[in-house]
Amino acid sequence: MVGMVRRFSIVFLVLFLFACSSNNLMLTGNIKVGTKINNQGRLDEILKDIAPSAKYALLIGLDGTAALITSRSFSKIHIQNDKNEWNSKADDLPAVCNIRNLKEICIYSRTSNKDNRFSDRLNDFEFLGQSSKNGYYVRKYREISGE
Amino acid sequence: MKIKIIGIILFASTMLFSIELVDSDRIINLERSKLDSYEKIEISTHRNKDGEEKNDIWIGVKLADVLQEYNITNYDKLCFISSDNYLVRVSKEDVLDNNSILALIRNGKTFDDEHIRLVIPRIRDMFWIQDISTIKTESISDIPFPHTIYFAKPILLNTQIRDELPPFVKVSGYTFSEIMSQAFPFLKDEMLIVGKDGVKHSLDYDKYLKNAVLIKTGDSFDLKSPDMPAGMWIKNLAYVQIFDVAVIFQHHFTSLSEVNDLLKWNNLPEEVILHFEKKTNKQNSNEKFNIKNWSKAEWLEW
Repeated sequence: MVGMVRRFSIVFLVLFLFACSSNNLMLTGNIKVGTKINNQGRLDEILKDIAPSAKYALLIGLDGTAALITSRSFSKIHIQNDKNEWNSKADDLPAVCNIRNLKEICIYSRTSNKDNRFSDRLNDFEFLGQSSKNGYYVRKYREISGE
Repeated sequence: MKIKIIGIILFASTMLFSIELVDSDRIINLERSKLDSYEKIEISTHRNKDGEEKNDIWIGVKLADVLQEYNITNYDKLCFISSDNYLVRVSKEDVLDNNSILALIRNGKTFDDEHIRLVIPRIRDMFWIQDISTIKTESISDIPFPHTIYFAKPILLNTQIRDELPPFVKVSGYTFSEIMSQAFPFLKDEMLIVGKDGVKHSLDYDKYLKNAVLIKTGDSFDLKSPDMPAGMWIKNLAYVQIFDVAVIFQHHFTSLSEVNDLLKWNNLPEEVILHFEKKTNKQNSNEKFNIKNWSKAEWLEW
């Protein structure tokens, strides 16, 4: 009986950890490895403490669609969690910034050329075009292996 | 046997030839037989090239007919690229002119498939690109004022000038990447390159600029690249932009307003923040570059 309870506890713990981890959104690039977020809101607020010197962010969807935005746009974009899916929503930015089912946000902040994980990650993407709205620039990409 | 193989290769390459017509997400391969199937028109042109009078009679297919067949209407410009990477952009208005053709015959002589030429009598013949391999539709988005502008001078002063810039000989200057990597967070994809005379190119970094050099000519720099046809090299490089970051070679301009005249930004701010080695200062954007603060600034933002 005790063994069964222990087994249940372990299964419950594993499921709990899995649920927690699947609810977090991964941040990559020039930021501490393993950083994740679980709070919703404006991107500038979300990054305020964990990546205060971020200059760019590449919002990456599960389908490989990605939008590169500048720090000026961070306050115009909302990161939302709907039914366990992370989405980005922005009315004042080009439509490409509205990405459903985000899997990752890759952050650029100034660093040495050797340690530029943002640039390494950007190399996984094919450039599709650049657009702007209300004075804000956005670049659209598609992940090369993410067909 | 060798002759047979060469013959087969030549025949195969002829069969494989097509112009790639790229529109948004679709790619259409325009084969010669397809082009031959359109109604042909004849136009005559008169040019003065290097003091020589040139009169030509061209027969070809109207660009408008080709675009109409594939329902290509949502574009502002067409970008034509030749097999040696020469690139020109032509406005929609010029493309749709009734005399704009893909020329197949010149003065009675039929072009080989790979030598098909653009002819638009209403624009200068430097745009009449030969050996067309790709035609791409492009849309013009508004060009906002870049968020950050670096002044080239401090970067150049901090970089050792080179006396060897292969494959160019008897020149001095810098590699394009060593200068630009000090300003831009990434060197990748599309870059806007502008000369003092207003010549502008939007070029892919890997394809055209990775091996480019800045060759010193007096106080200015000419941009040359072994990956660009000589006709695309930029004399007196004045401005480079990737995404929202730019580098200005400021001695070509008296003020930001003059840069604005060249680039036609739609939102020149009234005030900018100048960054010096250890301090920052708010400054009116209409001031002249020879005012003390401006001449000492390393970069600006707004």
